[in-house]
Amino acid sequence: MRMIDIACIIDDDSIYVFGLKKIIEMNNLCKNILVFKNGEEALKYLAPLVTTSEEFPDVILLDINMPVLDGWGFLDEFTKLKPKINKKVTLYMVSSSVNQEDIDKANKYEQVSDYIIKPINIDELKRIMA
Amino acid sequence: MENIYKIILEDTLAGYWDWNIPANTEYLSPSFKAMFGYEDHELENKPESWQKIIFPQDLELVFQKYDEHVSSKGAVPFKCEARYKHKNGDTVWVLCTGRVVEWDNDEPIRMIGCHIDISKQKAAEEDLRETQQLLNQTGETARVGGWEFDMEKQILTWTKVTKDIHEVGEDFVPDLEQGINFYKEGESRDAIAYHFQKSVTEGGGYDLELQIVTAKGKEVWVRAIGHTEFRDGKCVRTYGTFQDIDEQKKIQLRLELSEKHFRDAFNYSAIGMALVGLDGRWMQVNKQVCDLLGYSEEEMLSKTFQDITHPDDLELDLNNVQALLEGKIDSYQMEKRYFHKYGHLVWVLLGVSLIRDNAGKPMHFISQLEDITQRKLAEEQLNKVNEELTTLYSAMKHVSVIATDLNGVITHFSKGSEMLLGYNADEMIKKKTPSVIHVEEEVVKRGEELSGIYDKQISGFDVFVENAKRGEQESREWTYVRKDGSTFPVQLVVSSIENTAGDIIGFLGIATDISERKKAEHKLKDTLEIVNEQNTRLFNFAHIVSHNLRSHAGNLEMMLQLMNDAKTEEEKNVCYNHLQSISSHLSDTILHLNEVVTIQTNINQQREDIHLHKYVTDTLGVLAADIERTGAKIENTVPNGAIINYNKAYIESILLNLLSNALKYRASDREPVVKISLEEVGGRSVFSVSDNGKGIDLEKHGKKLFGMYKTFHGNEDARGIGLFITKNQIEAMGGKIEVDSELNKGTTFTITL
Repeated sequence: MRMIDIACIIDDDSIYVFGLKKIIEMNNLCKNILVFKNGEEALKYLAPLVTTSEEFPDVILLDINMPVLDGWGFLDEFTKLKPKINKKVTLYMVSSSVNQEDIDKANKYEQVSDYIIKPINIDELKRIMA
Repeated sequence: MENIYKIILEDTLAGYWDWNIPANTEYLSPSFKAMFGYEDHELENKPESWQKIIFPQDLELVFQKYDEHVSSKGAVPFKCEARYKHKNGDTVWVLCTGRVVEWDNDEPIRMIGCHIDISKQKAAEEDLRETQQLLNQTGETARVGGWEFDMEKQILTWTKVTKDIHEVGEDFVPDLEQGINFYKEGESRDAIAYHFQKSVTEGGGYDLELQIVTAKGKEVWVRAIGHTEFRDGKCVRTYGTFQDIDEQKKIQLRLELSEKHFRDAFNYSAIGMALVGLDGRWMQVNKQVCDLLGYSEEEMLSKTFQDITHPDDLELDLNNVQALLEGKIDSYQMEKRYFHKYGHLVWVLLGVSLIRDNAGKPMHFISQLEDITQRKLAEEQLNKVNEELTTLYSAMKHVSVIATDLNGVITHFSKGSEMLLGYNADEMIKKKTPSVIHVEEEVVKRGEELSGIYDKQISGFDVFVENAKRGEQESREWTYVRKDGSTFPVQLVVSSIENTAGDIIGFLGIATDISERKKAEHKLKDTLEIVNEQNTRLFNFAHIVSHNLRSHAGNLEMMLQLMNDAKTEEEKNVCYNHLQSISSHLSDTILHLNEVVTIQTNINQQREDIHLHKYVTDTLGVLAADIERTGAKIENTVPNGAIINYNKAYIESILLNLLSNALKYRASDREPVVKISLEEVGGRSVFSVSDNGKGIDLEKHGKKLFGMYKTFHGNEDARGIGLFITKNQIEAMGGKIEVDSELNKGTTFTITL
């Protein structure tokens, strides 16, 4: 099993982030984990990395409800960045919301690979991090 | 001597009387009394007895004659003819003579006389006078001539009148052949030739009404009478009269003709005809009458019209008959019911006129009977339908029915119209058009629409009926204006009224008051809005609950798994701390949700009068430390006396939330300014809190601003619950909250209370 290099978690729920990080580390699913507590912080960090693709995360786990810039806001900005990234980047929406509207909306973005409902379990995590 | 006379007189048929003038007693002989049909004892012996039965006008004559006799001292004899009433009612003519036989100086003391019955004489006189009169009349009017034919000498002689009738001169000398030839060829000439020949050979005579053609070519009806005289079995002479009867004959012929016409008319009439006696008996009836009433002619003639007339119609009929007989009317017509032989009723249109004789005396009635049973039945049916319709129509109190002529002038204004619009039918019919009950702007607007549809100018009354004119019934909503100027909505259906030929003769507008329906519609719409809003809120709430509880549940699950997998005590402790934190967050969330549920379910929120200025001041007091720390400038312009009716706890919560937010999201580079105001806008109180802080990007966050657990600035102490609760509280009180904001300029929350 090939371990991915960089995973990125964008979520304002510190307990969730703690737990997720812990699971990834314990299972050795990736070498590096980036954590941002809202879309804006993530963008600030990621935008300059577009040109140096190696440092750009392979997998992004994006929450919807966040202050300042939420998941949707981030998605819109990310859509603009995507063509410039010379690397396969997989993005998952990860939310507690079971609202069908949210699910449908997420599926409309071609950048979104899947919509995952929290809590995320280890098997699923292993599948998407593969 | 006197007694002998008396005896004689009493035995004869003449009456005898003896009057004691001073005592005023009068002996009346039995024969005197018998003359008038009375027994001796039936009439008292006094003057009053005869004075009672004498004709009054003749009594005067008797007194006049007596006065003459007395005043002339008997020189003028007392003698007069007078009429008495016989006991059996006949008139008795009496010759009365008398003489005063005793005098006291100039005063008469006793008078005697006798009565002789001259009735027969008088009757004969009358007859004679009548005969003479008749003769005179005949002589004057009838043209009767004479003729004679001497068989031996074969000489025909005509009198002057005969010649006049033939229109020949006085010197004309006729012979037999000529005489015969004056008769009109054919029937008349054949008849005279035959009868003349027959009478001269067989004897006897003839009396014929024939036509001659006069010398001047005129056709004249004559009556020719001939007699024969025989001697030794041989006719020696014929003679007779020759009379011009042309006038009578023509009248007679005309009469016969008109009688025939009448008979034909009577018998073959399409309607029933009858001659009815003055007593109501059917004298003559035609077949139609028999067919109509079901009786044979014979049966009819044994009845009176009263027998078979419906009792309810009899009085009117008899009154009419009476009026005819009294000459007040010449004829009458009435609709009446007869009983058919089989018992059912027959409706008849009866026409009656009275026939009088030449003297004007009523003879009989001529009646015409026309069967109108079918019509009557139809009429009854129609009346019934009419009544039903009328009942229906007046029952429609909430429906206005208005009819107009082609020009829009109202021709009918129903009870319902009166009730709905407040006008009387009298002030509308023939005086107004429907424009008075419409709103002009509506009519103009609709006119423009129609003008567009039909590509021609349509205005005024045409606006209502343009579609009806085109054969389409139109139903639309209008506003009606009552007499008092108030208005109400109606659903108006307009259609055309056509006559049987299919021509439009007017229009009919039926309007239903739809105020209630409109109200219900509005109410329904309002209710629907509320329900929709509540549904949305419930839906949102369901998601909020599910989302927030799921976050914690997810974390809990994850943390427990990590704790399970933890290898060191330290790792376990970290997990345990996190579990405590999750538990606390979960409690908070449940508390918040409960708060929202409480707001949502407290439908009848307790309200009281709130002194708003004081509450603002109190809240500012709570925030005094923050105000001081931030150096914020507060402008509270809420009027000091302003009172709002609101829930006390809610207004406290709302004020605290908005004011603390205004301070919390202040701009770091400038002194915070918070303005608080209360205004009246459109009849509602509008409360607003305005700051000059960071502002919110409404394009990005506008939708989420009032959502639960939505935060925007990344502040550590932002929980995303304040505005959510505030919005719920405001809406639960029936108001709404709106926001206006610009990044880095400031935010204004406006609350419509």
